[in-house]
Amino acid sequence: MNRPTSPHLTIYRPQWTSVLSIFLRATGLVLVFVFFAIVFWIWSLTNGYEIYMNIQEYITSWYGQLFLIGWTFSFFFYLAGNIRHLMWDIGFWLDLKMAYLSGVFVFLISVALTALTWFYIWFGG
Amino acid sequence: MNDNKSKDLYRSYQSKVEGLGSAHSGFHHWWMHKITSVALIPLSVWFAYNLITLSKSGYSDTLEWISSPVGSIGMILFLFVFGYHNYLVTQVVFEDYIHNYYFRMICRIGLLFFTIIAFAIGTFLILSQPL
Repeated sequence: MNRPTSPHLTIYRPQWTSVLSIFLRATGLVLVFVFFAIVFWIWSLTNGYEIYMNIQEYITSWYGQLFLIGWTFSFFFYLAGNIRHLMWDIGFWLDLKMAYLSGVFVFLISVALTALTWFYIWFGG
Repeated sequence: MNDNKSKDLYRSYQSKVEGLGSAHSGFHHWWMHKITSVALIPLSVWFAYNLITLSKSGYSDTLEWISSPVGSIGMILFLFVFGYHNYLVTQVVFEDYIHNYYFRMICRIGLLFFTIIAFAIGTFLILSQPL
């Protein structure tokens, strides 16, 4: 039943509210995968030095680090975005101005924390 | 009649009788979502902090951390709450995008089993480490 439907995603102007909402869902799904990856990491850790170092080779490769950067951003964005949702549940920031402001803040803090984390991992210590 | 469970406290009689909505009850799911979110704020920050600082150490330090009482208990709690939270979130995603009743049910139950199995494996591996 492929009847023609009116355009929706193609015509609606992206806004901080709608875009952040779908990003929150997307990062949430990434983190579901991360949950299983963490269990896998625990398995590699508890199964001896050789297996752990074998997995570490993939983690420290350029594509492994790229994945990890994506997961780090997903983590911080999901954390900040959900705190914003919790504030809404309590009743704060529900007006349009604060919704936009908190949205911008969520995005900026996610980028900043991701950058700080990876700066520390690569150059800090 | 499911009148006496705490998760039914905020439901209307009609919703209890008719099982309204695709999930057939709404409040409990939403409340658990919020509770796990709040619990995950300290747990996930604790996990991320440990993981990031441990990236500077080697294999034995990391193994020592996950064998320690704080590391073990923290990780098991984190896996439990994180897994439960993920299950709740993905349930909603399935309900939104999978329109076939039986396929949706299979996906949800599959995810439930995978989450529980992953949690069991993770907990077993952590607890099998000597202190």
